[in-house]
Amino acid sequence: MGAEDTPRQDTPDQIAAEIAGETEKTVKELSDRGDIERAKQFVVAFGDIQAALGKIAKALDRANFKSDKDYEKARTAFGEKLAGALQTLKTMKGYGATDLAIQETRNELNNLGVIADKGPASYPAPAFGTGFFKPSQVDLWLNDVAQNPAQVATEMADAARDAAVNAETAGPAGPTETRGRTIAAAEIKRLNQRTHGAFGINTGDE
Amino acid sequence: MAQTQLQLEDLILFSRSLTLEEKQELLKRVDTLEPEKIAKLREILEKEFNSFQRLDDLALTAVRGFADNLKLITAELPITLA
Repeated sequence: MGAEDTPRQDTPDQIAAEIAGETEKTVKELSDRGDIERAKQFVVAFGDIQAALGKIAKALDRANFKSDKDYEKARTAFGEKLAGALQTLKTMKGYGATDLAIQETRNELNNLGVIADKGPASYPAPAFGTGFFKPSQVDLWLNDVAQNPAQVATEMADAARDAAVNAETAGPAGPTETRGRTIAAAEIKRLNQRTHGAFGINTGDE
Repeated sequence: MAQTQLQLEDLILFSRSLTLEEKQELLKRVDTLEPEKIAKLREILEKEFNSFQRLDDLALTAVRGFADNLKLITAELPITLA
């Protein structure tokens, strides 16, 4: 696995801070367009996410775990999954269908002769190049999201919930630690399958 | 959101496809365009505007689903939170 494939290792606290930034950007964009009602809905939904992440961060307090290894494992598992979900939300607005819609519009405006298309517009660059996504896999993942966003969100949440419960029950070092590690690896593989490996999560087995 | 008739100038400003320089240039030129071109320009930009409205709907659905499921996660965590 090359450096460009290294997954992010954000903690729930970092994710919560990033979600706050995303909230501000999204709401400003919708407000600028006069879509105040939807801006309010985003505020409520993002607020729920931030509150839930705050509770998860508390639940993942070191004092709640029997060993440092269990603690680190749980935080890493949550960080990976939540960062993946957050990045999906950001990417949905910044790439894929958005990219296509922009290019189609530019083609039509170019044909109409009201702009001279000199190449890609200077719209915000997608998240690629951060080493987090593999473009072809993200295309598949975005397609899934576009087809059934609620189902995808449910599956992501299911995987995160499973990881939380299993990290909690992994127990102290020894045979149970091995069991916990095996469970975590299996879950990450399952998550990779669900997302077509778009998040490049390393199970540690490769 | 109640669908309101947007001015052509608003559609140009809201466009995510046009660069800032292109928006400024188009706003200066819009009065000099033939009526047919203005109508076509409106049609193209309305189509773009509506497509992003749909994308925002998708994003909101995903965000809500994610929020709801995070609530379930926290409810099921086997730890009593202060």
